[in-house]
Amino acid sequence: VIQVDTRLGYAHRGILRLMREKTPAEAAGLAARLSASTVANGLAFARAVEAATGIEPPPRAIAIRLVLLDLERVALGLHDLAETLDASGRDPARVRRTREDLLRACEAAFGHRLLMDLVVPGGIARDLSPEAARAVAAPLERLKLPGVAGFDSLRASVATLLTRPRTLPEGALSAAVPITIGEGLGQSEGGRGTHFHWVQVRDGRILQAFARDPAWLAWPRFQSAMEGRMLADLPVLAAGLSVAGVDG
Amino acid sequence: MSEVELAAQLNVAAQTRLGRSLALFCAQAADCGGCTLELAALRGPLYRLRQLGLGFVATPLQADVLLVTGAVTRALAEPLHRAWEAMADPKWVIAVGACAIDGGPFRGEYPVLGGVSEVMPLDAVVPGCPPSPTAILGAMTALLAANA
Repeated sequence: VIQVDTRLGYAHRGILRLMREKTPAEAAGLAARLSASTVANGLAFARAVEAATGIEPPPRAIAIRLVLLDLERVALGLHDLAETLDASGRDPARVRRTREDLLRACEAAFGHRLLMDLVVPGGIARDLSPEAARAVAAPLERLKLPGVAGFDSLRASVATLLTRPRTLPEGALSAAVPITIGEGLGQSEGGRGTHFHWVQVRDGRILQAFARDPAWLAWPRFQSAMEGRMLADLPVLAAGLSVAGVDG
Repeated sequence: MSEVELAAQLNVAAQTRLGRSLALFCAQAADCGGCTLELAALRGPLYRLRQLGLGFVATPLQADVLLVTGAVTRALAEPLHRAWEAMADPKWVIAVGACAIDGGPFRGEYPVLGGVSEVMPLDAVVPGCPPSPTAILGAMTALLAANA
């Protein structure tokens, strides 16, 4: 491969325009569908709304949000690992099995395999029971990650998941989002990088919104990584690349 | 046994065999990645695709079933239609997820034409955002049973 040029835009859905005039709660559902990192997108958007309206979610919501974020980071990391193993001719069955067990535990604990729509502006939409908190990370107890660099953050997320859900603070799940004027920036650390959402709100509606998905950085990185490689390396280097995250 | 009889027998055997297996191709339209993740999850060992006679192929040329995820944007209408045209008859199309069915939350927005049926004949839909691998599998086994 001499050079790679990507042509994007085919998956443009007009998400940011569609968010205008919606309430923060309605727009959160759209923000959560910007790319596959639904928790990270939802969280960055919720934090943007909270910054714009000057509120803080309750401690319990903050703690459960971080559990959700770690669950998504691990599930996405296992997905990308399985695809990479598959693309390089190695058996991904064990990693896929662990990921499937984790997604089923997520469904049992939160009612959704991919944890969509659980983060809402002001807090979270659903509580985590003590029993579910113990069960949700159980599939990860026997997980053995490859002992190579690049899995450090995944390892950290797994370690956190095996301890944090047991020490959740008590209290409310969400704070009311006031009807006010303001703008705010929200950030979250997803499985594929840093997500930014920015919003302007007025009279309880979204005036304007903007989002920067980590895919913005992944595509140029992919282009330069492919240069000088064999075409057969493409599936390995393209693992986890999001089109929708860039196209919006 | 004559050549004609042999060929006929082979044909029956092939139809029985091929009728019991389906080659799947995933066509990603404007998909956030949720449906694609669940289609990937379907490849996991718990779903036993091979035992059910199902397998993913790399191009629509080899496929019996086109699994479309995501809303159909104006920009993707032609590439999607070409993927469908490239498939040999008989062929089937399944819309996987709310966006592929009718554009989902993006229906009516300026870049979005709507669902899969805007650009090709549709045989089955799997509702959900995203649908679970079990639901996707259900649609395919129904298709197998109806066409075996």
